[in-house]
Amino acid sequence: MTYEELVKATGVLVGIEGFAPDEDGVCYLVSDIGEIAIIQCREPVECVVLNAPVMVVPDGASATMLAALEANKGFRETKGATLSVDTETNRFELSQYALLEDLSAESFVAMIEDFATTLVNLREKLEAAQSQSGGGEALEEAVSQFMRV
Amino acid sequence: MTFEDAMSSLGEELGFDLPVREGAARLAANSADGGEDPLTVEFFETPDGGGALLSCEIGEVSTVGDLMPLLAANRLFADTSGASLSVADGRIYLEQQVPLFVIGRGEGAGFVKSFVLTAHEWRNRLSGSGGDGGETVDDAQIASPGFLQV
Repeated sequence: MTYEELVKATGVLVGIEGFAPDEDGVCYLVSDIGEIAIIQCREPVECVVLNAPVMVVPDGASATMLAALEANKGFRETKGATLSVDTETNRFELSQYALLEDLSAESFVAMIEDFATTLVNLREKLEAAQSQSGGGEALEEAVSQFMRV
Repeated sequence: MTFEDAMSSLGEELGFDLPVREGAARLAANSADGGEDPLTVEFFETPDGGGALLSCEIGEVSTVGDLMPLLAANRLFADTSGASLSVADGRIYLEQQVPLFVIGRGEGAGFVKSFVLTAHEWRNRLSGSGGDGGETVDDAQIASPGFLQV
């Protein structure tokens, strides 16, 4: 199945007629949780990438950044995805990729649903980390504890 | 294919036994230039049982200023060659998931090689010995890391 065929079949399953990528291989799913981009990646192997904004990186976001990197450990809290920051838009993002050859339309829809659930959960987690951080001093203390280990 | 079968298959590719002990298999990887400070790569079974998680400690968080570059590098996996940078207990890790069927069809060693080269590149970058960090994995693949049994 080609990438274009996968996108088209996915559109049929989720009820979007004529769902197709643009000339750059990108298309978007929009819901009340925001926008999820579906991106074609050809190198080094053919992959499909899901990418979605999580939240704006707030001022003094060190605690939130640490929480994001800790969530990435072992892909446990991210359920196979990865948290990152787009420095141009100043947003946390969640991304996940899968090998094209490993996907069917059904498994891809399941992946998107899991990704959306994880996105909501991580958004809550990072917002909580930011609200509980108590500013930069708490994180500086946490980092200094790392260094004493 | 089970995780143990996949590790056995990967061990055959690499030329030594890769036994699973306490849920993980381990190997050491010399740097691409034959340096003496090998990285230890651990392989764990992914929670869904369908993949192997490669994990390698590459440095430590020393200041909060270390965090943003790691997150920026993760964006769309562009600066990590498909892997993910993470932190636990103040230590920085590079991690990547590989489907077991990829290992089972004999592509595991190449995958691990690419991962190790990225890990070496990042360890050098974090330790300040990697220059501007501009070296790409493709460039580094000219040299070949050596894998050792742990």
